[in-house]
Amino acid sequence: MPIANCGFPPVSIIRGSNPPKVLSGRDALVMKGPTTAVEIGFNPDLFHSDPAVVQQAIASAHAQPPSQLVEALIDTGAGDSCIDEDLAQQLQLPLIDHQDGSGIGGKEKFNVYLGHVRIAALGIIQYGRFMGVKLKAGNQPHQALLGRTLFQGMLLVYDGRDGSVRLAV
Amino acid sequence: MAADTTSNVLGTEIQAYEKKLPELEKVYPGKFVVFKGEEFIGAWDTLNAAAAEAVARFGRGPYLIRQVGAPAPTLPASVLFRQRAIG
Repeated sequence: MPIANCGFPPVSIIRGSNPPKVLSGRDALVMKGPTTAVEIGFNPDLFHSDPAVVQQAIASAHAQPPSQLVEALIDTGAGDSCIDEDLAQQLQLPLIDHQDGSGIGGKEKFNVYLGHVRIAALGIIQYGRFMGVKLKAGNQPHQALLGRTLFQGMLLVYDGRDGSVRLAV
Repeated sequence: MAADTTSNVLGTEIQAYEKKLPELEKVYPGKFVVFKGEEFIGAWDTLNAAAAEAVARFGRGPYLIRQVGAPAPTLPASVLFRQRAIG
């Protein structure tokens, strides 16, 4: 069974700290949350009605080195997934909606994009819709937030005692 | 929050959806519908099925895919709290 480690090592050195500062895994998990590397993109063949074409597209995606891995938060508090608005435009994801939604200051407009997400450590591809949000500009450390709809059929084990999180299919 | 450059791209589709909404709510509640321009393309049970048809016919679009009767999206709390902390 493929397993993705989405937590943090028991002890790590904070990058750039001088003198070196140590951060425990449990504190790192509190600060950043369960995190995994993903590739987000759009391949029309993944949406093809012919399952054989879809299978070929999946095999092709696995055979190629990931074009761009980004850090994604496993956000079990969210139903839908989000992507950094600038990244979505850079990746030229198809725009499929422009909706009013509840945001920071009340009602806001969000772009909604179509795309696939490949969880590198698990080697699986899921596709779905992503709300475009200014994550990077808002100092969010992740470029994508993966909501519950993407984790149907998966197992998530969260251990706040040592900072480890494991995701499996 | 969304980029201004794309805010009007789906204007025609959204207008067509809203005009047809009373009928959609009666006939296709909970379905994922696709609009291209002013044309209603169809309704499907899942986002995947609607997307497959939309991509096959129109590639990268733009086209509207919306679930009839679905509540408006809400920004996840993880984003809200962080942005409030910054502000």
